[in-house]
Amino acid sequence: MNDRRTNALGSPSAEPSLHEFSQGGKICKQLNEKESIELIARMISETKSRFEVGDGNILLNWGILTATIATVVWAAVAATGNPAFNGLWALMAFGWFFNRRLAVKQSSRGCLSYTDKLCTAIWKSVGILGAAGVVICTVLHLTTGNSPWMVMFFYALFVVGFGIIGSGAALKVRSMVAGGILSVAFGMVLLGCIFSEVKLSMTWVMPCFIHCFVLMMIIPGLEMRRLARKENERA
Amino acid sequence: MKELDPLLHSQLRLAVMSVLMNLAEADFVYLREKTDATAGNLSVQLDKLAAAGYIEVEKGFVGKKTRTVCRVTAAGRKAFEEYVQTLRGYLNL
Repeated sequence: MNDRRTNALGSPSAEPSLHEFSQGGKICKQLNEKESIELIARMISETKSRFEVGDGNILLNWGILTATIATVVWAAVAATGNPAFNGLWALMAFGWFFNRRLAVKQSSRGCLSYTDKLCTAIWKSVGILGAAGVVICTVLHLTTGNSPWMVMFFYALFVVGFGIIGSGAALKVRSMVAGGILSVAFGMVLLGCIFSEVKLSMTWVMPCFIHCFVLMMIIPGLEMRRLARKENERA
Repeated sequence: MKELDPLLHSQLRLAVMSVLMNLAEADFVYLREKTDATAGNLSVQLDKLAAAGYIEVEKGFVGKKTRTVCRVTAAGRKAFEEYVQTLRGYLNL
C-alpha cells in the first residue's frame, strides 16, 4: 500500500485533476452544488450508526462468565462451608480474552465511531479500576491477614453498573441502562445493610448478585444480538 | 457570494471528508470501500487533505500489516462546516 502511494505521489502524471473521481473504473464529472449535497448525504447515511450497537457478544461473554463463576462459588461455599472456594473468582481473568477478541474485531472493521470511542474509554476505566481493586485487596490481604475482597463485590455492582449505564446511554439500549441502575441500587442496599449492621447472608446476597449480572449484561447482550441480526438482514 | 473551498469541492475529497466527519477515525481500506476509489487516487487525495491540515494520517501496524488511520482535524471540521454553509447559500436552503 505504501509503495503504491509513494509511486503515485512521485509521478506527476498520476496526479488526478481536481474533480476526478474513480467510481467503478469510470471518472465522474465535475461536482455541482446539488451533487455535493447529495454526495455528503449519501456518505453520511452509509456510515451512520449501523454498527454502533454492536452484536452484544462482549456483554454476553462477561455476563455469562461472571454469573457462572458466582453460581459455582456460591454453590461450592454453601455445600462445603469452605471459603477457600472464593479463590475461583480469579477465573475472571479469562475475560481478558474477550476484550482482546473485541479489539481485533474493531480494528478489522476499519473504522471507529464516536460511540465506540466513548464505550472503549468507559470500559478501559472500568478495567483499570478492576485491576487497581485486585492489587489493593491483595496488598491489604497480605499485610493485614484480613480479607478485604468484599470491595470487589462493590466494584462489580457500582463501577461495572455505572459502566453499563454509560454504555447503555451512549448506545441507546434501555435494558442496559435499567440493568445498570438495578445493579447500583442493589449495591446501595448492601451498603445500607452494612451501615445498619444488618448481617449479609450468602443465601440472598449471591442470588441477587447473579440476577444483577443477568439483568445488566446477559439480557441486554441478547437484545443487542437480536437487533444486530435484524440490522444485518435489512442490510 | 462566498466561494466554495476548492479543496473540498472535489468528489473524492468531499466523500472522504463526509465519511470522516461521521466517524472518530477510519482506515484506508474502509475509506477506499466507502468511496469506491482506487488506492492510488485515494492516497493522493488523502495527502492533499493532510497537507491542508484537514485530516491527520497515522501509520501503524496491525500484526505485520500496515494500517493507515485517518481522522478529521478541528480545521477540517471547520472547513467542512463552512463548505456546507456556503452550499446552503448557493442552493437557498
